[in-house]
Amino acid sequence: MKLDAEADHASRVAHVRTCALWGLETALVSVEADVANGLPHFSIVGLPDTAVSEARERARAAIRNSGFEFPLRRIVVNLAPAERRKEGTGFDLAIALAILRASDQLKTDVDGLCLGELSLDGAIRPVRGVMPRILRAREAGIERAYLPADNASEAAALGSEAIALRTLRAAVEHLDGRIRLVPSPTPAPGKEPVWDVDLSDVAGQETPKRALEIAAAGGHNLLFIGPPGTGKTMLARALPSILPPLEPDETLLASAIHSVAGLTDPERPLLTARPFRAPHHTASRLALVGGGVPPRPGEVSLAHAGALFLDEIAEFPAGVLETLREPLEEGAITISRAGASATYPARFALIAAQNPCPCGRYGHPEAQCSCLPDQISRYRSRISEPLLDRIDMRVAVPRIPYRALRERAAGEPSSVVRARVRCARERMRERLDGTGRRCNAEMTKREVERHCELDTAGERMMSAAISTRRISARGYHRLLRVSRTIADLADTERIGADHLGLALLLRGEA
Amino acid sequence: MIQLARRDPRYPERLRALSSPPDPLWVWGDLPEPRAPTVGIVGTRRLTTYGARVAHELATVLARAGAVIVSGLAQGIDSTAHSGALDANGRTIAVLGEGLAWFDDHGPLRRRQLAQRIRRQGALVSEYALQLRAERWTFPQRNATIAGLSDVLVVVEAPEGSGALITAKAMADLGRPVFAVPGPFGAPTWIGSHRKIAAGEAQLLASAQQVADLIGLGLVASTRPRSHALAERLLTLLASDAADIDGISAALGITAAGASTLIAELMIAGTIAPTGDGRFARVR
Repeated sequence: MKLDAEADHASRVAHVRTCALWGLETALVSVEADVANGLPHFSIVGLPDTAVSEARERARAAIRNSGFEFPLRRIVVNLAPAERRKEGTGFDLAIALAILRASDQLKTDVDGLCLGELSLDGAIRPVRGVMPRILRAREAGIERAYLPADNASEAAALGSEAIALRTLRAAVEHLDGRIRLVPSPTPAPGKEPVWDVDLSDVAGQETPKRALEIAAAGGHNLLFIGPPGTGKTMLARALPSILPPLEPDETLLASAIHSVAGLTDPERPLLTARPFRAPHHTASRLALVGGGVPPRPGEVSLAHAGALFLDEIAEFPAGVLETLREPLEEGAITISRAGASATYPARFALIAAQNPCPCGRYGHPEAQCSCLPDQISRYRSRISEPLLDRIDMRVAVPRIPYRALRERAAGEPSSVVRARVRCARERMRERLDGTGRRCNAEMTKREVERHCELDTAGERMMSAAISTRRISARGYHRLLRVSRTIADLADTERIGADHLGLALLLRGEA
Repeated sequence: MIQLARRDPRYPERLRALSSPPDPLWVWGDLPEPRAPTVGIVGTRRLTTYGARVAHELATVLARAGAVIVSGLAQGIDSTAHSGALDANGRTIAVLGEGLAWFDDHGPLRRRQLAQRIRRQGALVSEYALQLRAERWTFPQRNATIAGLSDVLVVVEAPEGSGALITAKAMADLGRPVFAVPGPFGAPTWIGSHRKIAAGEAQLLASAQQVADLIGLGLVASTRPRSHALAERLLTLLASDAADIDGISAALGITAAGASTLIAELMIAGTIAPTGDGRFARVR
C-alpha cells in the first residue's frame, strides 16, 4: 500500500535532461515538471531568463497545436540545479516533454538529452550551441540526443545517437514507439578544402611570403605595410592554404565555438580547415571580441586555432584594437556582464595590413607622398605601442614594377610551403609534448629559455643586439620564439645567427 | 624664459646685422658662447629618408667639431638637424615661429620633448610675445632670424616655395655664405635647392668639410669603421634611399637570407635602422 502511494507520487513528477550553456561552459540541467491539482497555473522556477520564461507561452501553444491537451491544473517546472541563471530557447522541447510526461500523455520516460526551441504550431526550431552541449552530455554518458532536424548533424558528427525531430508530435510518437525515427547518419568527413588564393598567385614579394610562412608555422603575429594595390590582402588570404591541418581536439573546440555562434554548416558541422576570419574595420567591439545577451563569441574566438586578418588596421577604432591585447596575451577572452562572465578561447595568429602613411605613397620611388612627418607618425601610432609590441613581424610589401611582375617566375606553390610548415609544427609538437601548447608562439617564458638555445654566433649577435637596441623583456622573448620557428623551418635544433638575424629584421622596430 | 633687449650685452651680436633685428628676443635655456661658430641647417618639413640622413649627418659632424647648429624646430629637416646636434652632444639653437610659452602649452608632443633636450644643450629663442600662436605671417620673419643667427647656412632639402629659401635670401642680403645639398634629378622636394645652385646663389655642398673649412673648424674623423666589401656595397645602395629586404637582395645579387644576415649585422652595428614600415635606411 505504502509502495503504491510512492510510485503514484513519483509518476507525477517527470524528469527530462537538457543542457545549459554560458559561453562555452555547459552544465547538465534536469527539467522537472509537476502537475498537481489546483487552480490552473503554469510557472517556471530555477532562475530562468526572459527567453526561458517565455517558454511557458511557446510550450502551451505547441502542446495544444500538436493535438495534445494542455493540463488545466497547477503546473510547476523546475530547472535543476536552480542556482545559476539559464539562458536561451533550447529548453523548450525539454519543458514540453516534461509536462506531457507528467500529465501522462507521453507514456515513456525520455532517455536522452533534449534540445530545441518550439514554435507555436509545434514545430521544432534549431538552436545555437548544440556541439558543446552534446560534448558535455557524452562526458556524462548520455549517448542519445533529441534535436531539431537542422542541428542533428552537429550531434551525429560528435558520435552521438542523434534523433532528428521536426515536430513535438513526432517526438512523442517516436518516444512512445508508434513511429521509429532512425538516428541521423554521421556526416561524411569534409574533403580537403580548395583554397581561393595560392601562394604562387602572388608575384615576387619573397620576404613577405617568408614572413607568412613563419607566421603559419609558429602562430606568430604579422603586420604587412605597403602602398595600396601591392598584394597585402592577397598575401594574407593565401595564409589558409599554408596553415597546418587542424588536430582532432582543435577541431572539436573550434567547431564548438562556431556552433555557439550559430555559424555551423549543417553539411559539414566539423571544421575541415583552420578558420580565417577577416572582419571589416567598421566591425564593432562586440562583433570583434564577443558579448551581448546571451553572450556570443566574437571574431577573435571564431578565429581560434586559425588566423584573424585585420585589413587596414589603422582604420579600426583605437578602442576596438585595444581589446585585442587580452586575447593576444592570454589566448582567451573573458566577457563580463552583470552577474555572469563567459570565457571563450581566442588563440589566433594576427595578420594585419596597413598603408605606410595616410596617402599611401610614402616610400614610393616615383609618386610624391603628400603627408607630413607628424601625420605619418600619428597614422602609425594608431596602433598603440603595447599592441605593436605584440606584433612579431613588420614586413614591407613594396610596389613591384610592371616589367618585373611579368618576368618574375612563379614562386613556390602553397603545397610545398605547407609541407615545410607541417614539418616545423611536428618539431614544435614533439618539443611541447604534454604541455597542451602546440606552437612556438604559445611557449611560456620558461619554455623559451629551455628550448631556444642560441649557438655561439647567435649568442654574440643577441648580446650585441641587446646592448645597441632597446629590446624590451617581452620583445626579447618574442624575438626568441620567432627565431625558434625560423630554425624549425630550417630543420635545425640550435638557433644560429642567421635565424636570429632574420627575426630581428622582421621585428623591424624603428 | 628671459627677454633680451637689443642693448642687453647678452643679446646675440650676429643679429644686429639684420635690417630689423628682433627686439626683444625671448630666450629659454642658455645661449652658447658667442665666439662659437654657428651653422644654420634648414629644409622641408616633408623630408625624404635621404634628406633625413644628410641633415642628421651634417648636424652631427659639425656639432661634434664645435659648431652650434641653428634651425627652426619644425617637423622634418629642422627637427632632424636639432636631434643630430644633440646626438653628438653638441649645442643647438631653435628659433621658433611662435611664442615660447604658447609652444610649451600647445606644441606637438614629440617636438616638445625635443625642445626639452634642446634647452639642456642650448636654447630656444623667439622674437614673438610669449603667448603668441604660430600664424602664416610669423614664419618668414622667423626664417630671417635663423639667417641672422647663422655664420653659414646649409639648405638640405627644399622644394619650390620652401621657407628655407627665405632664409637663404636673408643670408644673401647679409652677405653670408649659403650651401645647398643636391638631391635626385627632378625630385620635387629638391627643386628649390637645385634652383639656388643653378642660379649661383648657393654653393653645391658635397661634403661637411666645405662648411668646416669656411668657419675654421677641424672635423673629427668619421667614427664609422670601414666594413667588408659587401657591407660597403649595401651602405652605398642605402646612401640615396631606404630599401626593403627583397630590394636589397636583388640589388646586391645575393639571396634574401644572405641579405637578412647582412642587414642584421649592420643594424646591430648601428649603421642602418628600420624605418618602421619594413624598410631599412642608412643612419650614418
